[in-house]
Amino acid sequence: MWSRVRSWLRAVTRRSRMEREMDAELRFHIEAFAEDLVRSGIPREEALRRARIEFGGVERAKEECREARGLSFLESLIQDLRYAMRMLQKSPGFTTVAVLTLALGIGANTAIFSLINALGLRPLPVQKPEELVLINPNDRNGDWGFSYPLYEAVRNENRTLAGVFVSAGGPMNVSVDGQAELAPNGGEYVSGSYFSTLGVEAVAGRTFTAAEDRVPGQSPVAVISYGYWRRRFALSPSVIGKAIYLNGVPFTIIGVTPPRFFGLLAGDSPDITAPMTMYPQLNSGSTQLSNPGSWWLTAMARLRPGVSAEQGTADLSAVFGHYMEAVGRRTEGLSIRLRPGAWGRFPRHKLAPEAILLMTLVGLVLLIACTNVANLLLARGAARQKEIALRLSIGAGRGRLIRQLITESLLLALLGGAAGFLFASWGTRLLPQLKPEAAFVDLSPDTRVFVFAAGITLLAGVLFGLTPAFRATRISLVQGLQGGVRQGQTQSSPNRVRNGLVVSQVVLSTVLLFVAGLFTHSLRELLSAELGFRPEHVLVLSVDPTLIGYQGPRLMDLYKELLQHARAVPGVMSVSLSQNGLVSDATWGNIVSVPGYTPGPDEEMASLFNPVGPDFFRTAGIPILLGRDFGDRDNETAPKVAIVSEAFARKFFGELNGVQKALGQTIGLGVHQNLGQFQIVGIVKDSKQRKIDETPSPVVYFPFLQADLLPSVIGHMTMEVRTASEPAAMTNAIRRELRAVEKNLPIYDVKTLTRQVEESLTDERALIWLVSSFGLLALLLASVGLYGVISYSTVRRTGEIGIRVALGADRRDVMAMVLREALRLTAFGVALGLALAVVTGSVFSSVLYGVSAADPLTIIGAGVLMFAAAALAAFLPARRAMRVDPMVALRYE
Amino acid sequence: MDKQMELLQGTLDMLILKAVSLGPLHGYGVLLRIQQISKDRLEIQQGSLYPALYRLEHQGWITSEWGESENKRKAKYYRLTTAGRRKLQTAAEKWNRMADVIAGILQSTPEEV
Repeated sequence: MWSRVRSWLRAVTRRSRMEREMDAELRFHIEAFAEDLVRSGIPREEALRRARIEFGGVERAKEECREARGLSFLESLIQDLRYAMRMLQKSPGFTTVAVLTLALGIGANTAIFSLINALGLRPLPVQKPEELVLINPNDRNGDWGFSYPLYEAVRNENRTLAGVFVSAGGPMNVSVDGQAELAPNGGEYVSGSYFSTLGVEAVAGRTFTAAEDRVPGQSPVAVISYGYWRRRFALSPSVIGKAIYLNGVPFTIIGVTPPRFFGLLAGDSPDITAPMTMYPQLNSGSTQLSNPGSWWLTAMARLRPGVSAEQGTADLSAVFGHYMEAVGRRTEGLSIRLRPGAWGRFPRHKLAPEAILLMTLVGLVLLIACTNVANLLLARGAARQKEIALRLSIGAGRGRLIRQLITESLLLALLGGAAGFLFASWGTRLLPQLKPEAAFVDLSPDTRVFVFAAGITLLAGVLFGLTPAFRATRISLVQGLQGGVRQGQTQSSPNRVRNGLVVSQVVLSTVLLFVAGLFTHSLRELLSAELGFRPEHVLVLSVDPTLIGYQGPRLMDLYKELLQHARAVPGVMSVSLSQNGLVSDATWGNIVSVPGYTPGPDEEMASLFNPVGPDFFRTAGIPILLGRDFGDRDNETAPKVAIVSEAFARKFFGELNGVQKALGQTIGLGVHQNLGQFQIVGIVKDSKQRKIDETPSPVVYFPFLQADLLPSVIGHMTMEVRTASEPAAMTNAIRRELRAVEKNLPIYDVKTLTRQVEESLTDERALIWLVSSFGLLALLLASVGLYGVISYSTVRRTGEIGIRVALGADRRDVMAMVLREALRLTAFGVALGLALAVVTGSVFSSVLYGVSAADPLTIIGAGVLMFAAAALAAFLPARRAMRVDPMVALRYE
Repeated sequence: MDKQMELLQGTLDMLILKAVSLGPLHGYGVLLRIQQISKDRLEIQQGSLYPALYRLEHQGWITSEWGESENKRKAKYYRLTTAGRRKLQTAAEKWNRMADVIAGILQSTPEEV
């Protein structure tokens, strides 16, 4: 064993010396042999010649000696790499095209993988994320959140945790130097142990400590995210100690979190983090913190070193049991469940169907790119037949040659992979700059991305290199040495392989085009979908008087006055207010009770709630099916009234005649009807609440003046203004009128309702943009591939074409002949591709809206587009074939 | 026997070990020694001799050093190591047993079967 290592090491480290020795040894052998022959009377020249012949291939013997040494792999790799580099340098055009093609494919894959990695695979950027656990109370119906008193119990009584914290998100109005805005990425309430348990330290100032947990309402301090620091404060160091207002309450900024820290969920990155103990102050005196049965918090912990998950579970279950007994609740069937917390708020991000779809499509693009390079290599292999035949004939083994050719492919792949990796890092670095206010997503490449890129690079190299390498080395030596394979005489098989590759490219591109078509179609359907309201001529804007200290009856009076003033603006048809916008992220769900309706065993009596102002339905353009709209008379002192959506009526009052039966009924709103009893005075058509592709869900609307709890619920409101003319032109007039009522009124998010609807489709648009670019990239690559194959085959057939022309064939016929070949391949590929697309299309149906996965129009469109591109790609070589000069062509042989 | 026999697969290593066990030899010398002992009845591909020598050295059964040949030229001499001597012994025993068995089979008559 040791001797082997030693000889290998010697061989590797003293390679040149070994080569010299080997040379000398073999030369000695041949000369000694020749001398013996001379002694037997043969002339010296002749003796040397015979000695050489007797010995056989010297190079081959040397190669076998090297192999016997066990160094062959590394050594021949270096040799092969050198050779490959020379070969690539010799044909810069081929190298550039191949490397660029691969760089596009590998780059696109790496970029998409970076995204998936950032959103679903990468653990939180905190200390030892694998030690974190999510804690949930659990019964047979599933997991609950934590209540704040339960958190306090666990914090004080556990014996197994190194640290535990709770957190909850919530909107925050931030006012800096009189400039108010809703924090774009929201706020987060956390217990004082949040940062220390995660192991996150401030990059400026300090984070929270246990002190922030101690006295409720006495810690008006906030930590801001790095992104918010950059956007709002230009990274100014003086931000530490700066006084700001959060929801109208004075706060001091004490610290900034690190650039890569994004809270508990990738893609979240809340701008402001405030102590949990300040929750009531920031939410109009909410009693959530003291409610022992409100399970609204996310709880996470770090186990003490050496504590197993089982021990932790047992310990916390005991604490939970005591707690439930102490607060007088049932305890049977309850336990605590611990799950890995390395990925934050969810145990592990499930990959969205969109992510899987993108990864698949971009994988197809890479496959097409590989096919292109394989085709290029096949053509090159044909051109290099003479070289290869020569090397085979002087004793190089076929396996050795194949390895050499694959080394060339791998080198190509490596170059392409490196370029692709650069493309991807540039791309992912550019992405956030397109939308700086968006939530921070850490797309920077890490080991996982690097391994992925390296993996697909190697895979690509083997994939596109294997067939050409085997093909190129399978040639007849005699033919190969005689000026290459004569045109027109070749076995048809290499052609068949190349044609096969082109067909598979066309198949893949057709599939991609089809998918891109489906998505574009789906977006068109979304854009023209029935919204349930009329967005034209409506301006929406958000106002938040609580930021400047309005509360209770004063707040309600202000809203009434704002409504009156807005109505008075010339050109305004009607004005209303609503807690939740139309097609907006913010919706509010709560419990209803309906007399005469008995819920199923696991059914929750839930509905969306939307407190609105007078004339809401007229302003939004939501048709009233039965009954009336809200008016000014529906105020604090009037009887409580509600208007429900059609889906609500059908669900709770009967599918058939629910709409009629619902009118006049009285329903209870809120948990234990704590919002009161409301009489239904109208039923309206269903309208989109959150997203355009949602199915209608029950909604109950009621006057915002009529909910007892409202002062605590309502912070900001959305004002809808229906105008006679172009709404955007009215912006200043309305803003002026509202400021006339309250000169400091925070007004933000002013836009037309049409725009708001469009913005709700941002994700869909981005997805379609990506899918379409992949489709076009595929089309381009496939066209280039087809162009290459047709050009190559016309060049090979130059002689044949020359003879045909010389014999009087019409040049048009020649062109048609070439085109026919291309279109035959394309037609075959398109047919196969469409069949495949229709079969696999159902996979996408979950992300499509209003279009069948086998949509005939899209099928035809994809086919026609592919066909047209192919015809264009084949046209150029076909025209060249038409112009072949018979004399030149015949001499070419 | 006039005609030269081709070497049986895998026996070249053993022959080389035997050749160098009688004293240090350079590569060409190994060839000559085997031909001499076999009275020219074995044909050895000269090209395959050196890979075999390198392989044996790699496995530690022979070592090499540069010395001077009969006619005052630099040549690489191979020598058997202790491990090589053991290897030669076991290989030879194995070979003899095998030859006996095969000879026995080939000499068997119909009555014995």
